[in-house]
Amino acid sequence: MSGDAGSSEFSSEDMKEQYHSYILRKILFIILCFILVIILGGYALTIGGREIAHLDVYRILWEHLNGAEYPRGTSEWWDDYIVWEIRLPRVLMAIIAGISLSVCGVAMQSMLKNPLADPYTTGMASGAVFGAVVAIVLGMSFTTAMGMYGIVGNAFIGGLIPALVIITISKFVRTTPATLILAGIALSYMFNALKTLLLITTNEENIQEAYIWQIGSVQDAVWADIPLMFAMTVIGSIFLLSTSRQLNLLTLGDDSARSLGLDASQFRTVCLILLSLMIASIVSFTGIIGFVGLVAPHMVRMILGADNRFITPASMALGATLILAADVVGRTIVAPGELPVGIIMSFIGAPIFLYLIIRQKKGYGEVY
Amino acid sequence: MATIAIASILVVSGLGLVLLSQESDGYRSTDFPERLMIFGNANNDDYLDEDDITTLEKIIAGELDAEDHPLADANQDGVIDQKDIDMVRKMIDREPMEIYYLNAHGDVKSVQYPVGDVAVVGTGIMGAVMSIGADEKVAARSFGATYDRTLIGDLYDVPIISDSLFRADVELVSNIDGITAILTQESTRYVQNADVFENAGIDVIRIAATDGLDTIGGILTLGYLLGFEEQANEYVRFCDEIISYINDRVGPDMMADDERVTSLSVVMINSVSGKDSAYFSATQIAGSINLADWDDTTQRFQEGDEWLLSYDPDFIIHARGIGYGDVDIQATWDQYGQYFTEMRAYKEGNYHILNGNPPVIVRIAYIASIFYPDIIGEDFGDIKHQEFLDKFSNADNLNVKEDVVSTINVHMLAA
Repeated sequence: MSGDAGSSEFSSEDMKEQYHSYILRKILFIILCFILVIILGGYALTIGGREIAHLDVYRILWEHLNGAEYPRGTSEWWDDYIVWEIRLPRVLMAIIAGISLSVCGVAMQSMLKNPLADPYTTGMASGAVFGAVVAIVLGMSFTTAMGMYGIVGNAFIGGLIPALVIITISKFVRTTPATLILAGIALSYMFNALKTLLLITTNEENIQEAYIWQIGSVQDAVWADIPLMFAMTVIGSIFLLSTSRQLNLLTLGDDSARSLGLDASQFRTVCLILLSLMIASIVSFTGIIGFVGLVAPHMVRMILGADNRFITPASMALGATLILAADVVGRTIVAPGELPVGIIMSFIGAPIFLYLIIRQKKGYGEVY
Repeated sequence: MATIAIASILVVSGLGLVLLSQESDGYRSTDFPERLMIFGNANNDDYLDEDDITTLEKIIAGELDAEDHPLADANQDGVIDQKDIDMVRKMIDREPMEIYYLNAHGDVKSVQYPVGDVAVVGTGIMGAVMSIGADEKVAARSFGATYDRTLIGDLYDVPIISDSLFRADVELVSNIDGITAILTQESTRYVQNADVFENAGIDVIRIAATDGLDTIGGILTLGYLLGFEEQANEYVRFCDEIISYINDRVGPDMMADDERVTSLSVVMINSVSGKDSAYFSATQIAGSINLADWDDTTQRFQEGDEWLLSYDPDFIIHARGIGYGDVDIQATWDQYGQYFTEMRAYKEGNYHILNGNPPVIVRIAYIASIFYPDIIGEDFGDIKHQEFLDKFSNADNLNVKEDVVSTINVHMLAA
């Protein structure tokens, strides 16, 4: 008996230890990503036409936060101005975009029980791009504040349309998550066709502005861009983090979720509205930055398993790391020129995604 | 009879050119108001002088209406009073101070006078700076393959502050001591990050440098801001003489519309200029009726398109920067002309490629001589181009007729 009891006790301790190790691994991964963001962010702050050493950027940030002021035009003033006003908004935009797009990817993959769900396969990003192109063709331009907010506002509305269509379809038609994805893809095609139609009927200046805008970039980030995307990301992330258990339930299927007390349909609707707002707030400022919403959650699942309580924060950290890294690569490989982060992310993301699919065959790529 | 008439026109034209090429002292360009866009230029002429004080005194005394003198409020405090007179007097004495001006977009801007070292963004504004001899003020320039080394000389080698013709990188600018302003041209494509510079205390001065006759006002304003008024006035004189010469022969009062040639202008590879384009106004100034009826800057005429055929102009002027070096005439003709072979103008030998590197006023001279060789003189463009190179550029060793391809037409191919 005692042997049995001892064996049972050992087994329980062993399980506890394994569980702690399991949790520790997840927390360590998130901490590692966080450290990488700080290091990469610091390095990104050193890149530019003015030479500022890696450690100096942290000092400059610290002194700025402590209220340091310098005579205008001095070397210290320029260092502070360039780090704080020119480079930091770009780094923050990359981090926020990475967090937001990744967390949206995690949520969509869980909600729609489909590993291919992300802001682009659900049509929301295409809708946002179409909205922005409409504004540009109507004569709005990023060169004026009113024009910029017009474009961003239109992108916002455009991003909401696919979400509303998907929600409507799911309300009135008996659908599966797969059909919602297919509906999103159909909407993407439709918005892409409308966008192309607009572009071939407008003048070349508009075509150029629209085309440049579409290429995902954080190059022209300014402080004024940050509050909206930051607010939406914080609100959305808090909601999704706090409802990660419900997201886990959704992966079991609507009937199972309902039997466990979750109104799956209502929860999915709330999530879709929130996600569309998050995506539009990012895409309208950065343009298209693809793959991060797909790659980050899948990499995390491969390393940590399929528990949304950890996948969500870890994907946020990894997504921020990925976009920051892509931006750093884009700014260094053709220096003093640069490649937009959207292009680099596609170059990096597509092979990684293919690798993940081929390597896993099945299993990690699945979310349910 | 016709021969006699043409001969008479040629003689008169020739005399006109001779007269134009002579120096005449005491030139004052008073026939063209609202060009020097400096607040304090109360009487709207091309000069900051005692006449402005007189005008201000009359406005204060109620003898003149302030609304007719939009530049009278020198200190921009909303009131025209003794303070404006005091400020204008200091401006006449060219004292260093903060002054106000209207930029190419019509925005009121302030700047410290005289402007110190500048970074230049755009080929048009670079040409404007060169034409007034203000090379010494240029400490940096934007990157650009279209800067012509022949025209800008040593300025080609100043530090480059961007990876694009249109941009200025604030970080690269910060590495160069003493830059007080970014000089650029009217298009909003240039220096889109102007607020970043202005927040850093570097003025962004946007001057009309490419758009028809507005460039003359741009040159005058630029000359004042940089402290090169005398040179600017000399260049303006050069421009005024060309405009007057053309106006006196094919201007609005000299020719009925049904006597005029019709035209379209093309820029880049196959972009046909609309009403908002600088080349639209250039062809109009040169005496033609430009048939473009769309408001956009340009519309592209692609291979297989038919929309342009219905316009049927007498002339097509295709402006391309082909530089001051060797030019493969046949290849250039084939490259750009291919889009317009179905047009009547092309078939009748009236498709002309115009070198876009000389300043707009010289291009207008060429266009006028292409449209009306018998009236304007077929050498008018070359004569004015040579005068420009000799007086206002670093390329005074060039002989326009022998060394430069200024225009390309079908007859040159046959030759």
